[in-house]
Amino acid sequence: MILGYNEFVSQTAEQIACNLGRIVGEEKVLHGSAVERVYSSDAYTVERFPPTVVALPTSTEDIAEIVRFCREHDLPFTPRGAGTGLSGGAMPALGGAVISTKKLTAILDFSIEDQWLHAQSGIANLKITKKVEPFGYHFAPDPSSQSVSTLGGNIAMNSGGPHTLKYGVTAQHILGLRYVNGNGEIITIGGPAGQQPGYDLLSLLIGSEGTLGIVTEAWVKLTKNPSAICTASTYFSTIEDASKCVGAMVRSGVMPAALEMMDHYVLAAVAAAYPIHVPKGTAAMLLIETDGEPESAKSDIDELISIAEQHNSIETALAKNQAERTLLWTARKKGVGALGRLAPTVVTHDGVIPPSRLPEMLEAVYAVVQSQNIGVANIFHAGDGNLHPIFYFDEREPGAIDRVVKAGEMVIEKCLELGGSVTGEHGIGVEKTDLLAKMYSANSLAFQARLRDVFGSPQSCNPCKVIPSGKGCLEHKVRWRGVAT
Amino acid sequence: MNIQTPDNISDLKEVCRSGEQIRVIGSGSALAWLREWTGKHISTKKLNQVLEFRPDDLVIRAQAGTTIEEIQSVAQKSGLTLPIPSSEFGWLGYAGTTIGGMLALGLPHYWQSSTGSIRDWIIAARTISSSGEELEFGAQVVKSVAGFDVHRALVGSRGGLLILAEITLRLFPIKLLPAPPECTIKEPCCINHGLRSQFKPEWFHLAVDASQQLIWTEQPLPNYHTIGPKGERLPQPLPQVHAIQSQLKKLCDPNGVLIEGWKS
Ligand SMILES: Cc1cc2nc3c(=O)[nH]c(=O)nc-3n(C[C@H](O)[C@H](O)[C@H](O)COP(=O)(O)OP(=O)(O)OC[C@H]3O[C@@H](n4cnc5c(N)ncnc54)[C@H](O)[C@@H]3O)c2cc1C
Ligand SMILES: Cc1cc2nc3c(=O)[nH]c(=O)nc-3n(C[C@H](O)[C@H](O)[C@H](O)COP(=O)(O)OP(=O)(O)OC[C@H]3O[C@@H](n4cnc5c(N)ncnc54)[C@H](O)[C@@H]3O)c2cc1C
Repeated sequence: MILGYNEFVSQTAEQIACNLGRIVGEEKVLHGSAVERVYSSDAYTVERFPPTVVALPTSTEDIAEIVRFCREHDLPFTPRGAGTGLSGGAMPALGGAVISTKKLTAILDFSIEDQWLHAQSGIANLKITKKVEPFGYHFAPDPSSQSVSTLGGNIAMNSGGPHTLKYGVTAQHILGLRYVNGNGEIITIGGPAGQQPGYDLLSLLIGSEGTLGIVTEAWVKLTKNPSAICTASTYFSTIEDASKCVGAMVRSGVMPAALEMMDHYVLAAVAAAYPIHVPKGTAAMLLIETDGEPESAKSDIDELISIAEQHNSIETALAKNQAERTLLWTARKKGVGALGRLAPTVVTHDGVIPPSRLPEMLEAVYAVVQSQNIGVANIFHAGDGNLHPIFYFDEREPGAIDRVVKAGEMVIEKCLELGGSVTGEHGIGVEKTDLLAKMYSANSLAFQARLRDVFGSPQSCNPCKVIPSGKGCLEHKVRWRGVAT
Repeated sequence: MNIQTPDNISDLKEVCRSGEQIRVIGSGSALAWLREWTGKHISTKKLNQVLEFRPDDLVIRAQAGTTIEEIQSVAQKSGLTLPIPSSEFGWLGYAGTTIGGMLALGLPHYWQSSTGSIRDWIIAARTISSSGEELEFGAQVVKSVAGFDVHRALVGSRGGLLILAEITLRLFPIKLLPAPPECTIKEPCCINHGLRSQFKPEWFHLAVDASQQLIWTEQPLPNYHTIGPKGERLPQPLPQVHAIQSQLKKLCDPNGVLIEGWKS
């Protein structure tokens, strides 16, 4: 059983920081009330727990030392990238050490000819693309958080983004990993030429939400930029038309590079922050993009636009230049941020349904929020059925949080009823641990829980996440809820 | 060869429960690629039902013994396909072969640049462990991060970890695929994988997929990972990696019932 370190171990945070500092350098270890506050949650602020210390290693070897120290002192440890996770994955659930990759931001090597890049795991996603842009390449996974979220975080969450539809999620772009396992050993799997033949371990490590070890370096695939990109926005006067249009586009035989949807609630907030044009009477907008050779990109977008017309789109605008394209994407990627204008608190949900069920699903989402008397705005990856209903409300209002929690549960239930998944991107973290049992049998979950043993990862490595085990997690869950802000 | 062909999944579970060592096979086309095994074989030939086809969601669910051709012929009616080049282009070796075998073998394929690797096509699996236990992984939608991607890790496992019983695959629009070049290799081939910068110009008359760092040849090339019936040259995994792979085998098949296909 793991106990919350803060209460059950005799050393004070100061002593631990001092002892750990002696090993890796005192400038790499932080503690104190400000640190506790900042590192007590990720972007899922509903659950919080303060760390005892925060370590800021600068090398793989530092991380190995820190993990060994934690093991020797029975200290839980939680990896953390930029803290943009939306399911509580980087929250130090039982206290202990947060191991931040903030200072592991170096690009170690890259080859344009062989299309790979080797970087430390704390590098921001977008920095990789910036590095290889002059050569006409990019790193394909593009979560909306890409300007800050880290390579290690993307790997741990198997992050996706708008272009996942065509280019795949993070897993499809990782050639190799170096990581520190739960015993403080450094292990390398794969490399510039990819994983060696034999049982595939990368698929298990990627998406493991930091429970199987701490990724310190990765070799990623570089993707050649398409020679042409066509981006268009198309507007509908009903949600139903827009969502039926998504299904028609998916089955049209054209593979859009991106197919995103924003409803009028989001558009209102975005239009207040960015100079985008939204025709009067718009209920939803689809942002569509095709790429490839110039003729095929153009003929594909023309085909998608004609499908939109068949679905009663009221207006369509093709981006005429890079500036117009950038504006559309800025509106999409910063859309969630813009929602802060709607209400004091916003909570982003994440679920997946088969895209053909979108009309039914969106109808259900609007009915749910009405029944719970909260607001919702939808901005999401429509092409792969990955919904992000964003609830907005005033948490100071009595009962609001309960209603939001209830609405979230109702939406996820509906995703499952329609044959979908409880999460498409944001992961299980602490938020959705109870929901996995709705997708998998007890046998299957028990099997997955034992992957920790396969990788030599103790329960104290990012405890209580994904498939929690041990009494400590249950007891502490009550406590997190208690300190929710 | 001693082959048993269960009629349904409960029979398959029953066979597993007997505890006898087995090699699971589909059509058996790739036996030359595999470590030799003269004991019992279990064929999935009769587990060949397409269970669900949802063209609007680009998804098909079928039993593991369904042939690649059957999936392609069902999908084709809706303009979709499982993107493995067919014999009309002179590509070898897949008439009558199964999706279970295709996944468990996990070979590279010609349209990898546009459709990703075979590992990227599997989105869910219902599996049977060597003790007859049923375990499911993944989700019936093209995108999900719920739980660990065990279904993906089974790609390339060559029958040694869990038995694939039902598989959900993502399909691709036929329109997306460029016509592959005619395959010039008429013999069972070796697939060589290595860094493109090490490709030699004299190899370029061979089938090359430079973007995926792959070369198909009749004989193994030096200095590359090579998989194929004419010789496998796999670099020894680092001891630490090998130890984790052994632990994975132990978790899936603690009594060593399932015969591993990888040649050592
Ligand atoms: C505005 C906004 C937009 C977003 N858009 C998207 C989107 O489009 N698509 C998407 O998929 N997600 C999105 N997210 C979620 C989030 O950005 C991603 O999950 C991202 O990959 C997390 O990266 P991070 O560096 O912030 O990781 P953190 O939040 O710090 O950590 C996330 C998880 O990864 C683990 N972890 C972090 N680093 C490592 C490491 N080096 N080794 C092992 N484990 C590690 C942590 O323990 C934790 O479990 C969005 C979030 C926000 C706030
Ligand atoms: C000469 C030749 C060239 C080929 N070239 C290519 C190519 O370039 N690209 C490509 O993708 N494919 C290629 N193939 C592979 C072919 O397309 C089939 O995918 C392959 O032969 C496997 O199908 P099968 O049913 O015959 O499997 P089998 O040969 O019966 O089995 C193959 C492996 O899968 C395991 N297996 C089978 N079924 C299951 C199951 N249900 N659960 C768990 N494990 C299972 C077996 O134990 C074995 O290890 C080639 C095949 C040959 C013979």
